[in-house]
Amino acid sequence: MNKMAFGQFYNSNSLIHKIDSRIKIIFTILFMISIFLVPTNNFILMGSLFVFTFFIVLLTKVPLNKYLKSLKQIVFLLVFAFSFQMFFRNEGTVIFSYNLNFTWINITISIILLILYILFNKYLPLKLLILVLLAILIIYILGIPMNANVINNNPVVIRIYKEGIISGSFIILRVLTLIIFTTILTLTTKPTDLNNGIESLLSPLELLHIKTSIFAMMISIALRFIPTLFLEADKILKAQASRGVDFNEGSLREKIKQIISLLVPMFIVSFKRADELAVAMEARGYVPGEKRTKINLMKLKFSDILWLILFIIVLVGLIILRVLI
Amino acid sequence: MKIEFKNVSFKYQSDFDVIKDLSFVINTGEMTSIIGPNGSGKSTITKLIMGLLVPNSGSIYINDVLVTEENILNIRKNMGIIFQNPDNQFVGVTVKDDIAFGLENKCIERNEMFELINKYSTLVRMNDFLDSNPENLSGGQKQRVAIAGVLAMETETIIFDEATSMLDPIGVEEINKTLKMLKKEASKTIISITHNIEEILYSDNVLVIDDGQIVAQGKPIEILSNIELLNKVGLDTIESVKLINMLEENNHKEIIEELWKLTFNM
Ligand SMILES: Nc1ncnc2c1ncn2[C@@H]1O[C@H](COP(=O)(O)OP(=O)(O)O)[C@@H](O)[C@H]1O
Ligand SMILES: [Mg+2]
Repeated sequence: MNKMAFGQFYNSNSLIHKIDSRIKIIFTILFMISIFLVPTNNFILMGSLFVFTFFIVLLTKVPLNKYLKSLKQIVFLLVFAFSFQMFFRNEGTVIFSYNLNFTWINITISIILLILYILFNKYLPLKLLILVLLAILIIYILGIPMNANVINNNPVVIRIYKEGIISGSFIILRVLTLIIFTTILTLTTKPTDLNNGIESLLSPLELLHIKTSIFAMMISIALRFIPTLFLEADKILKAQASRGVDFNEGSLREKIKQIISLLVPMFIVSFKRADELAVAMEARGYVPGEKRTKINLMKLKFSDILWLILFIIVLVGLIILRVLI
Repeated sequence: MKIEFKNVSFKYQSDFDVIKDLSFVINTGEMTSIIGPNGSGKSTITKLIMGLLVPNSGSIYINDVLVTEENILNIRKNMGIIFQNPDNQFVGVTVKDDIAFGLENKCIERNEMFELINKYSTLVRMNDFLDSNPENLSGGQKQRVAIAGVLAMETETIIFDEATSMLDPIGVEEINKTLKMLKKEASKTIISITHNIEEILYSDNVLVIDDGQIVAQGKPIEILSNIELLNKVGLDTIESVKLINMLEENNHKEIIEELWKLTFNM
């Protein structure tokens, strides 16, 4: 847990790393709007944005597996969105249909297979692969028409429509592009720069007497203390492990007890920290909302403006297309 | 900076006074050590000096001006404090940002900030770590950053509240060196809460606090040779006091006298 740092910044000296964080935030937002302006099922446009995104990914000089890592977290979402589109659409051209027979023979065989899987789960290699194979096998078994004591008279028909697959794929492409693009922002921008960028972008709100600098200070303090708190949690976990608490075993009730035994000291330590930090900040002359100079100055370069223009062109182009189509 | 307490009493939410009718004067350019057992109110005194706490009764004068809610922010600009826990006073995400924090609050120009950061990070030998995060620094390094952060503000007065108590002997030695240098070259008013014998010997005055009151006050040698007093207020943790207590038990009077002479170069 030592290397745990907030965000997932990857240090490199790429073209994208050098772009002003404010510009990166703005063009990420512009690009998100662009993605949502692509007409549904327009694969050519969406595909172009995807290729464009991929091109920028290559420019970042960040290893591709860093991107894959952030995509891994949304695989479930993607599968879910795709299945939803596929199974819950009921008009258009059927390209595939399948009968599920819920007779007692089909069901018994399926259940026996499931029980066998659960029993031998522990000894199996490649669990995930076997689970997927098992699911396919069960679907296949349910598909065999049996002339047996019928539980449900009519087989349940599952129809897959061409339109379902198309819109499912489109949604996947859209979400992928979106996630990869936002990952570019977090991978190539230091958390501090991100924070300074947000503060700078929000600063016009100060005119409305909204103290955005306090908000920015809060984020900055959070960025500062999240790694410390992780270290602390790690320490407490180790201390409790040495006293024989095992966080992986035990019933739900024991688990809850163990989590509480972690949270309580964490809370106490955090409050003490927050208290001492507040005093230390005040002692060094910090008055919330008061005017202060900044060491991290942000200066727009000419190339930053060019980047911004590029993304404005993409957005405007899409708006024009939408009006025309 | 002259600091004067007149009959100051203070209590936290509880009923009893933590600071009891306390009066003392610290003169400009002097180094004062405050010693006393845990919980005797030393940290509370420093927070009262900094105006981070307000007395329940009595008054505090800084340079003969009564401290009020209106003038405290300005007065505080001339004071800095280094706390015991190096982690909980590290505000910035990097060393540079942390040293800059106080300077930003003082609205110092950016160019000047960089000069000050360079100067004082070099002084505490942290200039190679300006872009490091606190997670990657040792306790001693973090404490040196805290010192640089306060020094960079170039305040007249610096308070050390057990700033070395969480450090290893090498860390303590380093900070002591910085302290001596400050006293000699910068002629600052320094207040140090410490149980470190070397630091106590180095100061101009020692205040002994017990239970929120001053029980003794004087030159380091006077205080440190009053073994009875130190034992009474539970300061037998100081190394030399331990040694003397041990020798006394075995009636080694001559050795003790010799030791005192050696310790204080008399
Ligand atoms: N924030 C606080 N709230 C309530 N009581 C406190 C607080 N800080 C300190 N105290 C109490 O005040 C007394 C003096 O504490 P302190 O000034 O920290 O002593 P010292 O620094 O000499 O160890 C102690 O009894 C302590 O428990
Ligand atoms: Mg204390």
